[in-house]
Amino acid sequence: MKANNKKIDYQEKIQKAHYLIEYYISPLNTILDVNHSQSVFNELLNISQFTNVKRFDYKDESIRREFEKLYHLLRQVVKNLNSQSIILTNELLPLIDRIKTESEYLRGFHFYLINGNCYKEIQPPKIFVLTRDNIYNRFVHENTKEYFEQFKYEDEIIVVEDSQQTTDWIFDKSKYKEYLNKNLPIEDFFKWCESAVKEEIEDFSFDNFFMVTSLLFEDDYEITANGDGKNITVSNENTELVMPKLTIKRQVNVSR
Amino acid sequence: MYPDNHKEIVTSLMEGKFVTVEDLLFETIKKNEEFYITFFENSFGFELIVNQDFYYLVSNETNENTSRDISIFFSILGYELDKNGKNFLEELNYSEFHIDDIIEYFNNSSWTDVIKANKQLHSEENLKRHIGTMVKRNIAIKQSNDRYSFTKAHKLFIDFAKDLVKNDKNKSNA
Repeated sequence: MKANNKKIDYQEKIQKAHYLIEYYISPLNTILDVNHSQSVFNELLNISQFTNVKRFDYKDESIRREFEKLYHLLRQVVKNLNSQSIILTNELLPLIDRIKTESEYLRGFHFYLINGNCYKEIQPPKIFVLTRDNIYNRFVHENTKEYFEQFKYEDEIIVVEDSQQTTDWIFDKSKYKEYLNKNLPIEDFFKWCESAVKEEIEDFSFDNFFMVTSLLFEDDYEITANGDGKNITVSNENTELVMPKLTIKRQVNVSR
Repeated sequence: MYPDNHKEIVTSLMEGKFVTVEDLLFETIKKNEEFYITFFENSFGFELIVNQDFYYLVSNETNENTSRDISIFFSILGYELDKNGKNFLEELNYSEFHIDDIIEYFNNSSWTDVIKANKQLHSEENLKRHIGTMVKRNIAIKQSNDRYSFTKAHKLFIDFAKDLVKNDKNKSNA
């Protein structure tokens, strides 16, 4: 039980300790109680003293020898009891004491953990909160690191920048619209877009091109497909687009 | 004018560390206990808690979650050590634990609900990080080869659990 070799449960351990104390240790304690005049130990001592006297009292040799024998046996018993008492004092009492102390802790752990008590109203011991408010504090680096560490549960998101990206070009819609308005009507809208964007960027991308073509969706214009059914092509270094030929002119009576 | 190692003492305590009887600084604080109590009170408004085994600071704010997680950690570890036939009081005081053994105690623990509900204890990685927090506060010490021992500061958390039952009894008696 001392080493809990059988891995017995806490409750069972306490019951076992109680049982041992009640049935072995307490009776042994009563037997050895030197303060009680009628304890077995004291009675044995009395008999021993009595035999010690009586062994010299009788003339009959055999009676004297029997007393002598009894006296020595009693001395042996008292000696044995003393050694038991030493075991009780040196071994069992500290063990009981330890079990008692351990059981106080275990009961505490049990109470704290059971029924989720630890997450309820029980306040844990107060401990120091690290200060992070002074930026001139010489531990500000460590403290800030600690502060941010608590958010480190999420997986890191790595954003890889597209190194191929060209310099940003911002489509100036009003400028192109104005330019378009000046040139209306236009027979071939997409070709016009191509030449307009080319004026600004020699090696234009289709992103640039399509931004300019978005003028097509403005309310101010009337679009018609060219009747001859021919397509036109717009190309840059890498790609060639085949587009319908569209005519664009100012819409009459635009309602706003 | 100031006691020896004054700077180190103030630094350690202000980092939330426990200065325990195992530390050299402990003796200096002990010799100048009154001075340090007044010093922290007047300079920062912090209370220096005096214990026979350790010193630590508390402020009006408290890091309740960390403290609760440490208390749960020791309650479960103590319980599991006892279940495995160890004298848990002696083990916590004098033994070294390999990190894998600690993880195993938690994996095999019967307090699964408590562990699952706790962000710091529910996975191996977080448990390791939690022990790291205890090292930073000088509640645990990292020895070589992934082994850890506990300083006397662990007593704050196990005594707290022990006293819960006493207090509960007193309450029901009152």
